[in-house]
Amino acid sequence: MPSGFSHFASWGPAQILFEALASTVAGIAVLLAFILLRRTVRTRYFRRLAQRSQEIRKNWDSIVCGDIPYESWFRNSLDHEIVESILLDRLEVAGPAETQHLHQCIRQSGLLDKRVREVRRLKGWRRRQALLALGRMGLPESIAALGEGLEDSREETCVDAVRGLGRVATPAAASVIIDRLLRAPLACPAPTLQSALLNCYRSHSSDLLRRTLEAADDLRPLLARVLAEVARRDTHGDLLTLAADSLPEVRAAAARALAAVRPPYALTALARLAADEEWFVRLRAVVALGDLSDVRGIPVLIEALRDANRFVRLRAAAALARFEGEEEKVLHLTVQTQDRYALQALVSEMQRSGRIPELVNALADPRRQPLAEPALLAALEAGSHQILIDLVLHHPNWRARKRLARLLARSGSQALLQCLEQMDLSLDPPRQRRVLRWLNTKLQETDGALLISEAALRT
Amino acid sequence: MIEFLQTSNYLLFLYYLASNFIYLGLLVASIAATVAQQRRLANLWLDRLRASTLAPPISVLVPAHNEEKNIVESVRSLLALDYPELEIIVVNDGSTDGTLEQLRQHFQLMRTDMLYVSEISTRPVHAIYMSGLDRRLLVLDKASSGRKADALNAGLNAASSPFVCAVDADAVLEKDALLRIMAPVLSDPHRVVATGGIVRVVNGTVVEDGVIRRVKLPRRVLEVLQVTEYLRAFLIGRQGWAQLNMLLIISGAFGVFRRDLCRQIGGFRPSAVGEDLDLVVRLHRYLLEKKEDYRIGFVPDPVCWTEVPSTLKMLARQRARWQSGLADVLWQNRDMLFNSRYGRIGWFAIPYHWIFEWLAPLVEVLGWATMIIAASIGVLSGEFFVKFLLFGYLFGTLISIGSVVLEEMTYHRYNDWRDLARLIAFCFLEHFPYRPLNTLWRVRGLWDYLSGRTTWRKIERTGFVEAK
Repeated sequence: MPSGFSHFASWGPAQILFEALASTVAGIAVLLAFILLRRTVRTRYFRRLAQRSQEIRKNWDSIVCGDIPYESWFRNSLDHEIVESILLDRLEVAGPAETQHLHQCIRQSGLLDKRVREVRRLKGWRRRQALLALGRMGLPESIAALGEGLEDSREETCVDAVRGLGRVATPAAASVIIDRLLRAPLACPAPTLQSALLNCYRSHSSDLLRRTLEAADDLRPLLARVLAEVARRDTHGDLLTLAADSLPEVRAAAARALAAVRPPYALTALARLAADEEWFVRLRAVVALGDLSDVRGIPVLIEALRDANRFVRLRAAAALARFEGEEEKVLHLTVQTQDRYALQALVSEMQRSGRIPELVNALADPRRQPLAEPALLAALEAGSHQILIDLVLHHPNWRARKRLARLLARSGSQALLQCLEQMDLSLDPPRQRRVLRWLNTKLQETDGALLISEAALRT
Repeated sequence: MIEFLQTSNYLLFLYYLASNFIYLGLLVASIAATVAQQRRLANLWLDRLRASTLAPPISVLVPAHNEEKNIVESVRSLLALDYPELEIIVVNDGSTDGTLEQLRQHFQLMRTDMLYVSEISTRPVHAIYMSGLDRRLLVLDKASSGRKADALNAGLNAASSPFVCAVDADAVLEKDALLRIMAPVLSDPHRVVATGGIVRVVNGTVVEDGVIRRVKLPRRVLEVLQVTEYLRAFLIGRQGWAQLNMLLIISGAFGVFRRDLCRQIGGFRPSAVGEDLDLVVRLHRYLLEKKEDYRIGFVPDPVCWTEVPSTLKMLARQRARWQSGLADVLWQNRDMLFNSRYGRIGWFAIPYHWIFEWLAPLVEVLGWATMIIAASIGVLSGEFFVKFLLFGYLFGTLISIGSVVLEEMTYHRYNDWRDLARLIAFCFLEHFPYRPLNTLWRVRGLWDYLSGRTTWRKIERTGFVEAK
């Protein structure tokens, strides 16, 4: 009996080619037919969908309150699909009264039971779709079925069950997730878990704080991270215990929560966390101090500007740059540390957040001018040449522009002079060229004598 | 001689069959991935992600070299992106036209002295500008090195977010493109280290204030041919490879990478011509050497629109550069070939690129030459020759139409029936006469690489079609 291979070989290349040619032509024909058929079917489907949606929307109130019998649309698959989709979309934006009506419609029409049945009976993609729809209904009766989805062996189904529970948005739904996590690890990415728990505890942050304090070591960091997101002024509970937790992730989350809740002891607790042994706890504390915007926190942040960790230093600079109207004071205190890197980090961040133009603005304010001048000189010392030249030319306040030009002329900064000499002035308009030439001349007249002194900076 | 011709013809036949069947396999894998992706997309609540505090910040890096025609629209489109925390870093790489001037005028740039640490060494950065209109925009003005990689490295040095997204200056991103491309990262943050998005042809499409207003096929033949080519390359090639977790190319026009990993491997290789391919191959190498469990993904729905060359000269230049880049990267990483240390990448992805990408233009040119000789001296039957030509042509066309099917199943961007008809008609032109031309340009690219002529040569742009 000839083997398959010998049969294949007997064809010869020409025969194979012929077969291949025929298959290819057939393939092209099938693909073309598929495209045309799909387009035609979709065009008709969407036309019908639009038509039915319009009719359903016209009778929407009667559908929701049941004046039009639920069976009339429930048994028609297209109408069913449209009504459910409108119901779920309305639930996203409805107020309490409308939500109640919509929930009643979902329960009485049998939509809820149908989705619960689907979650329990179907598998794969259809189960996932049912889980999400059930979650979007936001009904407490769906929690048990959604909880069953967490036991699915497929990761994607598990993720959708978590998302569905998140959409129910009640602590009871969160409890199902947490209880499941306590039993065994859940195949679900951390951001999805956090997002679901965040939705559930958004209006119940005190409950979450209580659960976080009670949770075991493996679960506490996750709950603490969520707490940091949902904590608000009205959150009650013992944040100090959380801030003194043995796990650094929890302490870091506590720092964020402290800034959001703002208890009377927040500043003291954050100051302590800003000296924590873990760099990321210090980093979170520094960011939280910036969020707190309490001027009493400025010295702690200035100290953090000299932290051993680069990221902490950068965040401290960013936090300090957020203190509006305190720019002069912050720069003054930083100069006093005599730490050049700290000064550079701060000035750099002030430029990024647009605080330097604000500082220049202060030159035109007689009350702020005495501190603003040395602060700007400090910024100049820290290397802010380009931006100051730019502001001399373009700052919207002409009085501030003029005072800045005079200040720079008095500074005698050789670095500034060098920077001016390297600039190509030919492209600037005549007025700006004149200003820059004047500044150049004035700086040359100082004959290299640096007028910026530590004493001047400490005025 | 006759024996040589016969052997060569058989080899070409087998090579062609293998190449086409691999592509057919990729088509099947892509259809499976597309169906799964469409279902996932239906369940993805982008509006929730948009307002989420959990979305990681992204720094978008835009290297720009003589891009005065498009740069303003591109930056506007980037600033209009839907993403909770965004930083745009435009790197003006020694442009000799008005790129910087355009940016200065439209975004009120102010020169600043911000702290810039050159962690990855680059050509000097002359100045850093900040926008007075939008604090998220930062512009670095640096000396040109003739390489895009150097500009990207400068951007990497200035980036402050955990993820960086490399975007071409002539690209326009759709509003939710970043949200979509970040979806794989959010669903598997520990494993996904990079993701690529689909790149489409903007020529012919109406752009207004950096936003796509009306999608249309371009009028020029050369541009439509590139539309079909891009659909095939992205919807079949990249999606298929990504499905097998063997994606080697994330387009430089639109890709997201973990910043810490990029810095650990030394950023983009300055001497690389195809810096995007090079970075992804080095990421694979680094992570496989460390025995990490990782994934490099591709998402077919976040759309980045880019301008393609509209003249033969520019297209030839671009394709030659791509081939040089491929040759360079494969040569630099030749030790990965059939090396079990690099697993599936060493055994499948790299060999495929050597055999069916690097060698392809040479095999095609030599193969066709021997076939013509063989047919003309009677070694090869005329009938076989014609059938072979026809088969090659029709099979390629089948794959191209397959990509149009995928396009219909996914984004369905070309809604107009006339555009669809033209798209299908051009699928029949892609394999003749476009492909032979492309083969010649690729041969030229290999020659350029071997002779050491591999600078970043300018591709002229015509600019976007504005709404009237």
